[in-house]
Amino acid sequence: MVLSVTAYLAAFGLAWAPVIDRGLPWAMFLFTLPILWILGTTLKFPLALTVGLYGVVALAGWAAFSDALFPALAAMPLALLAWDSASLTLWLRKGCEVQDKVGIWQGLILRSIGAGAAGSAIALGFARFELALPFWGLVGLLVTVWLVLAALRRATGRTQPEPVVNSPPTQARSHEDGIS
Amino acid sequence: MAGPHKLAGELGLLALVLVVGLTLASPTVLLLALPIAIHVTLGLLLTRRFLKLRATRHLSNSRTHHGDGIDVELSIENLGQHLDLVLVTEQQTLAKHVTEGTTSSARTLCAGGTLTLSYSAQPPRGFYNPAQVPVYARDLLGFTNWTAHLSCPSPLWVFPSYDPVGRVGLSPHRTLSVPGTARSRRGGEGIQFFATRPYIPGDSLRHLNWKALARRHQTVINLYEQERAAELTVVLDGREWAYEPVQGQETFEHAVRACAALCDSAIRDGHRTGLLFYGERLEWIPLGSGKVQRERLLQGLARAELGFSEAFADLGNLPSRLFPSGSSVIIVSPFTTGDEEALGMLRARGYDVLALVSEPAPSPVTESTPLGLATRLAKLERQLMLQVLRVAGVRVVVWRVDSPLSIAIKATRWRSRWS
Repeated sequence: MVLSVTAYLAAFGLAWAPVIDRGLPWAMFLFTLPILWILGTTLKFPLALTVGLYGVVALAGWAAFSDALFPALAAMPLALLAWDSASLTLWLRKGCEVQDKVGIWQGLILRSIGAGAAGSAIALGFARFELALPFWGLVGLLVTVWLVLAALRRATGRTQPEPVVNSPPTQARSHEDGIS
Repeated sequence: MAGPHKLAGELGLLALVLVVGLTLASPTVLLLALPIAIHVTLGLLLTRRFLKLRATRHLSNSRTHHGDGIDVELSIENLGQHLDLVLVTEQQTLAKHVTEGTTSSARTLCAGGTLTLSYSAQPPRGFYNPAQVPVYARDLLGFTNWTAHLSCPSPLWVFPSYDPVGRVGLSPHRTLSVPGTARSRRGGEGIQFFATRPYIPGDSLRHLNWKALARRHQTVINLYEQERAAELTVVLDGREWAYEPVQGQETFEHAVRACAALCDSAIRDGHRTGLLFYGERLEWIPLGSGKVQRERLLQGLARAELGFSEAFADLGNLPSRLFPSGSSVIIVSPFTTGDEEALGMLRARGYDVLALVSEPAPSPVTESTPLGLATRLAKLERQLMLQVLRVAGVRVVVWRVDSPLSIAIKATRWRSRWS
């Protein structure tokens, strides 16, 4: 929970800082997002987390639109890390003993930050090039990306496993005063 | 928030960013879609497609008594690929009686790895059969989420705990031909004096009544009462309303223990013993003897629960045709007004009926209050009912559940000698 909240606050700070001096009349209202996130993580309320993620990405979008691309792209991996770690926190049941906790969280951070940062780095690289892409070409590219993702989702959805494996009959180790 | 929901959430976010970027015709906003797209793609590529697990549960004992603990070891073995996270939660039937250890655990499970839950539990009387183990697995980013119920049947019997009671004094009209401890009302070999008869050549001189010979100059032989095995049915009253609302469950538990002790004692003495549970339903365990029969009786008692049925609201519907004619019947119940008629009928049909009245420990009530007066009236009514039973020939033993049962049972031996 701590990791999730910290990452979210960092992402929020990065996305919010470039738009702070824009004089938005509802700027103070944006502070409800971190509060919503903290409540969602504490009370295990997934909808609040979804709204929190959409909110911080919207804020990053606003920052990117205001020519502050670097902080916006920096906020994205952190927001995704917050989202992933909140998802794991909610999944682990209350009272559940987690073995090798450090290893699990390290794996999550590496994978989440790795994917997000790779995306941000590529995006930053793209920002340095000037590509003359016609509008419909751009739409076509986006549709292709979308179709690839949909195909991936379909492929993984179809392979939801049937995990029940025959278990051997359970044996009692001893019979205290069993029937003879 | 894992599995399809998480994926849908991220894909929705991706679509939103793309739509907004296109609408505003802003390449910088569109670039924000890249981290999300790569995050989703990587997450989907790293998911495992197959899950192959095996569950094994070892109980330290498959049958135990109330109050005794058992050790449980539940193992989940991964027979397939490496799994990022596997979470196992023991079923609530056992998990809620845990005294030590953990019943829920999560970890990364390598191929061939095992996740083990070890705990000690002290379940109350009953039958437990946690047939399945719920297992949850997911990848680290949470794009796929599996829920499985692995088959792992582990029946566990928790019998009522009881202290051994001595021999139960039985005096049925009919006995079996095998030796036992019940009075047979027949002269022969035994311990208790039964009658005398004139000497017949061939009789053992050990049984000659020397006093009669000295006084009357007649040879008279002492006869002793044969002790034979008998047929006994123990009836456990499970009618919810017959028990007090406050201490009812506790009194019922004591009644169950008393039945277990009586059954055990009767089986040990060689009697053919059966059990009838009379409550929400009828549960009949036919008469038998030996260790197997004792096991059956204890299993029947382990399953007994208080309940209500309109059909068995009073003892009038006691299925007496199940009891062998002339046999002994022990009814363990707190008894309520109106039950005396059913017991009297049983007695009239020739059964040797023993009513073991289980009474809760008295609660302190000030006699001057209306509640105290009502308690006194109820007590008087109850005493009257028990008196009616005694007059009908039913042997009544009042047992306060906070005192040892063996003392009450000892009284049955003393009384049966004179009945």
